Amino acid sequence: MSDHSTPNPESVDRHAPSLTQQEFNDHVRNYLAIFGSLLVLSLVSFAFWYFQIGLGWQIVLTLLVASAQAFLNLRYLMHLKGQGGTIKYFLIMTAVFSAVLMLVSLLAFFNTIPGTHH
Amino acid sequence: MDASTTLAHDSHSHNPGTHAHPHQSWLRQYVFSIDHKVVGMQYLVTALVFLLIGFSFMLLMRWQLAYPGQSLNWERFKGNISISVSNGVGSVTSVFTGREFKPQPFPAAAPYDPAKPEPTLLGKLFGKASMPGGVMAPDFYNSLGAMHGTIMVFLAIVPLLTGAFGNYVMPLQVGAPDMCFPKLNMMSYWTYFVGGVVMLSSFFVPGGAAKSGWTSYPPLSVVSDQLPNWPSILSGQSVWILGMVFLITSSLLGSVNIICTITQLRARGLKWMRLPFFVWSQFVTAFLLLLAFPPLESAAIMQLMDRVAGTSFFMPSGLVVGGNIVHVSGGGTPLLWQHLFWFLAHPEVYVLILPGLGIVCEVIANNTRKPIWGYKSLVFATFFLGFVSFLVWAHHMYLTGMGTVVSSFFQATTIIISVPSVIILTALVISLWGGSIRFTVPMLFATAFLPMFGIGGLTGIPLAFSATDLYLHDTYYVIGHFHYVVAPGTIFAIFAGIYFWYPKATGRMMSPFLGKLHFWPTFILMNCIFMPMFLQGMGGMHRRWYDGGQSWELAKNIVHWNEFIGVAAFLLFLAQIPFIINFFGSLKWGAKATDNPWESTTLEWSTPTPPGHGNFLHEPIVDKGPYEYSVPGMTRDYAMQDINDGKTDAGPPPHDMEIPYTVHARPDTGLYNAKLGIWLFLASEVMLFAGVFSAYVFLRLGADVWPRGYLNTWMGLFNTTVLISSSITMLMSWASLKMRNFQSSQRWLLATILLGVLFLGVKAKEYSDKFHHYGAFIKQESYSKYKNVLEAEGARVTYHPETKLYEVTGHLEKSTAEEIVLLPDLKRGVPTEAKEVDIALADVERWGAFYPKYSSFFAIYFTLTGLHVLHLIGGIVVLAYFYFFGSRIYRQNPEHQANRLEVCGLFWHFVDLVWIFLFPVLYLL
Ligand code: HEM
Ligand SMILES: [Cu+2]
Repeated sequence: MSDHSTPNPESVDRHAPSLTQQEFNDHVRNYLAIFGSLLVLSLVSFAFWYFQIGLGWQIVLTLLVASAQAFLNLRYLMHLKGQGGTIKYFLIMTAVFSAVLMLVSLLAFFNTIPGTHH
Repeated sequence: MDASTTLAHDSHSHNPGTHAHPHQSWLRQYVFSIDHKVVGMQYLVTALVFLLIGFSFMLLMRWQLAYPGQSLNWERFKGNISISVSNGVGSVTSVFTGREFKPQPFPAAAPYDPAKPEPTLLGKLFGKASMPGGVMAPDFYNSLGAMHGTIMVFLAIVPLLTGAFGNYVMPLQVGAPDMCFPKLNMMSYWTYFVGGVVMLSSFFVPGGAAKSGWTSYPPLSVVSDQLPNWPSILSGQSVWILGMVFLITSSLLGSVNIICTITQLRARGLKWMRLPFFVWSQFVTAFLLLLAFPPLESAAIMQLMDRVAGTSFFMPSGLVVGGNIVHVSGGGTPLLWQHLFWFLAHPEVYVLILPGLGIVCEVIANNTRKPIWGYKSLVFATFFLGFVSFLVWAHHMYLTGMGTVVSSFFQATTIIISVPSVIILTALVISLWGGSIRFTVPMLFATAFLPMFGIGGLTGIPLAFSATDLYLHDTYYVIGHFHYVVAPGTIFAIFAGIYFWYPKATGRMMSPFLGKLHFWPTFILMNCIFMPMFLQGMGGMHRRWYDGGQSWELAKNIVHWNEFIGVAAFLLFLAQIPFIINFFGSLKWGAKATDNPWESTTLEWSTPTPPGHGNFLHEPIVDKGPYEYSVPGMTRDYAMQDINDGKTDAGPPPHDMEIPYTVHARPDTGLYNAKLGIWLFLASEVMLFAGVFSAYVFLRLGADVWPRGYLNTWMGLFNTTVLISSSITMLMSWASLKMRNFQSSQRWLLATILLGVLFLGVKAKEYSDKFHHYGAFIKQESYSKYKNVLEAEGARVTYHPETKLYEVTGHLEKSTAEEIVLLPDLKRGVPTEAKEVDIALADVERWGAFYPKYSSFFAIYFTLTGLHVLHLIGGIVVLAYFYFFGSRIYRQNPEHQANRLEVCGLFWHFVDLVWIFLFPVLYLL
C-alpha cells in the first residue's frame, strides 16, 4: 500500500536501464517488422483502389486489411501482447458494445415497417 | 508517488480530524482542492443547488399546467387583478376553491401591454418574451421542460451519485488515501461546474434556452432557435450542446478515476468479493458512463455541425417546416440521433439508479444488523444489468416504424433486463426479514425507497411491449414511471446517504426529529404527485401539452388532477425546508459524532472523524467481508472489516498515506495507475469513433448515390505513411528512455512531433483544396441545356434520383449574380482537357464549395478527419510538453518519465489506429 509495505523494486538504482540490451534489440527489430508490414498492407489497400477491383470485393478486402493492421497495431505497437487480463477484458467489452451499437442500429435501419421510411 | 518525489513526510499533520494541509493556501484547500473529500463536498453542494433549480423549473411548469394561461403576477394573489378568460374548448373547476378556469389561447387573452413594465419577477429575470403579462409563454414552457430534464439528470442526480457519493465515500470504503488521479478529479468537478454555468446561461441568450426536450430530437432541435440576427453557435440549443460536451467530458474523467481507484487502490486484503456493495455499484456505473456517453458526445458534435455548419446528419431531404422546404443538402436521418441518444440514455437510467441501490444496501445492512441477503447474487445481477443495459435502448423507439425483427429483439432484451432488477430488489427486501430493524432517518428513506423503486420498475413492464407502448408512449404514464424510479426512488436513496454519512464528513449528527419531519411529508407528497400521473397517462394525456390538456376533449375527465399535483408539488417544496435547516444547522448545533456512530462495519468508519489528508491514520488491512453483523459468538453485534476493528491507535505507527502504484505496477493487476487510466480513456474513444462511424454507415446506406473519388488518394496514402512512421519513432523514444539514453529519446520524440506536424500540414493543404472545389446541382428540367456540352467533353455528372438533380463539379472560374463558370471534373481516365461550362443560376437548385454542408459525404469527411486532427493536435501538445519539460521528471525518476512516454504513446498509436480506418473508408471505398 505504501513505501513501508511494498519495497520499491528500483530503490537500488533507478537510473539503471530497465531493459536489457537484448530486450531493447528485440523491441527494435520487432518495431521495424511491424512498420514494414503496416506499410505493405496500406499499399495493398491502395492497390485494390488503384486497380478498381469492383466495389463489393474492395469493401470486403479493404476492411479485412484494415482489421489486420489494427490487430498488428494493438498487439505489438500498443503492447497488448503479454498484457495481463484486466485490460483485455475491458477492451473485449468495448469491442462488443461498439459492434452492438453499429450492427443493431444498422439492423434497425433495414428492418422497418414498409411505408414508414423512404 | 514514491518517497523521493513527494514532500517530506513530516510536513503533514497527523492530528485526527484535521482537513488542513498546512502548506496550502485557502484556494488550494477549499476551491481548487485535489482532496477527494473536498471535491466530493463541492459536488454535493453544487448538485443540491441544481436539484433545487430543476425543482423550481418544474414548479413553474406545474403552475401553468394547473392554471393554464393564468398570470403569475404577484398582484393576483392580493386580489387586485381580474383575469379575462377567453372561450376555450373546456374548462376546469378548482377542487380547492371551486373557481372555474378556462384555457386561454396564447397570447391573445393575456392582459399584456408591452409598454408597461414587466409585471413579474420571472419576466424581469428571463426576459419579456418569457412571461408576457405574467403568463407563461409556450416557448418558455418548453425551455423549462427541457432544462428541468437536463438539469435533473445531468447536473443534479448523476453528479450527486457519482460525483458526491462516489468521490467521498468510495475511496474511504476501499481504504485508499485518495482517488487514483487527484488532479483529474479536481478537473472533472470544474468541468462539470463550467458545464452547469453554460447550461444556465442559455436562458439569457436571445430566444431563450433549448426547447426540444432533454432528448433534443432532430429535426426540431436543428431548426429551432435559429434567429436571423444572432450567431447560431450562441443560440439556446447550441449552448445546450456545448454544455453537454462539458458535462460528458467531466463524466468521462470521473469514471476513469473511479474504475482506476477501485482496481488499483484497494487496501491489502480487500479482495473483490469483500467490496461493499456500494463500491460495486460505483464500479458498474462508471463503466456505463465510460462506454455509453461517447456516442452521445459524437451525436452532439454532429448536431452542432447540423446547426452551425449547415450539414444534414439528422436532416432528411425535402423537409418542410412551416410550409417551406428547408434548404439543406439532406440525406440524413433523424433516427440516427435517436439511436445514439438512447444508446447513452438507457444505460444512463441505470446510472441514475445503481448507486442509489448501493447506498440503500449499505443503510439496510447497517440498520437490520444482519448481513445482506445474497451478496454474490447482488453483485452478479449488477454486472448483468450493466451489460444488458447496452442492449435495450431502442425500446424508446417502438413508434418510429421499427420492423418486427428489431422490435422483437428489443422487447426480449427489455424483459430480460427486468430479471436482475427483480433479483436486486428481492435481495434487499429479504435482507429486512428477521432483522432487528433500527428505524433511523437513513433507514426510513432506505425502506421507503424499496416500494417506490418497485412501483417504478413494475410500471415499466407494460412499456416494454411494443403493443402496449403504442398507447402509453409519450403520455404522463411514462412520466409517472420514470419519476417513481428517480424521484421517490433515487432521491430517497440520496437523502438516505446524506443522513447516513453526514456524521463522518462533518463530525456532527443530523437531527433525527427534523429528519422525520422531512421524511414523512416528502414520502406522502411524492406519491400525491406521481401516482395520479399514471391515471392521466392511461387516460391519454400527452406529456408535452402546454395547457395541461384543457383544450382536449379526450382529457376532460383527467385534467382536474393537474391542480392536485401542482399543489402537492408546492407542498413538497415546503417539505424540504426541515432538511435545509437540518443540513446547515447541524454543522453547528448537531450532536458530536463518534468515529463510528452507526456501529457499522466498512472501512470508512475506521477513519478519524472527519478524515484528514490521506484519510487513514495507518494502513487499513482487511480480513473480512463487508457485512459481518450479528456473527454468533461475538460480544458486539458487528465486526469491522479493518483488522484493527476501527481502533485508530492500534497497528503500525501512523504515517501519511500516499497514492501507491503511480510508477510501479500493482502486482495483481500488473499495471501502474496511469496505464490503466489511459486504456480506459481509449476504450471511451473507441466508442466515440464508433458513434461517428455509425453515422457514416447510416449516411452511406441512406444516400441515393455516394460520391467517390473526390479526395486526393495519393495525399491520403502519403499521410498514412507519415503516421505509421511516427508510431515507430514514438516507440523508439520510449525504448531509449528505458535504456536511460535521454539524448536519443529526445531525438526520437522530436521526430515524432515533426511527423505529426507534417501530417497536419498535408491535411491543411487537402482542406484548402476542398474549399476551392465547387459543385452545382442542376434541376432536371433544365439539364438538357447542358447535357450535350458536358457529355462531349467527358465531364463527371452525377444524377441524384431522390432529389432529381444533376450534379456537376469542378473548378470555379467565375461567378456572377446570374451564372457560374465551371471547369468541370472529368470522368476517371478521360484523356481530354476540360473546357469551361457556363451554368445559369436559374437552372441550379443549389451550388457551392466542398464545405461540410455541401453533401453528406463532405459532412462526414470533415467531421471524422476534423475529430482526428483535434486528437493529433492534443497529442502533439503533450509530446511537445514532454520534449521541453520532461528532463525534470527524468532526473528525479527516469522510470516515471518512461511511463509518461508509454502512456502518451498509447494515445498516439490509437490516433494512428483511427487513421488506419479513416484512410480506406473515406479515400478508397
Ligand atoms: C420530485 C420532483 C419532480 C417533479 C414533480 C417532476 C415533474 C416533472 C414533470 C411534470 C415533467 C413533465 C415535463 C413534460 O411535459 O415532458 C417532468 C419531466 C422530466 N423529469 Fe421530472 N420531476 C421531478 C423530479 C425529477 C428528477 C429527480 C429527475 C431526474 C432524473 C427528473 C427528470 C425528468 C426528465 C428526464 C423529464 C423529461 C423531460 C423531457 O421530456 O425533456 N425529474 N418532470
Ligand atoms: Cu430505456
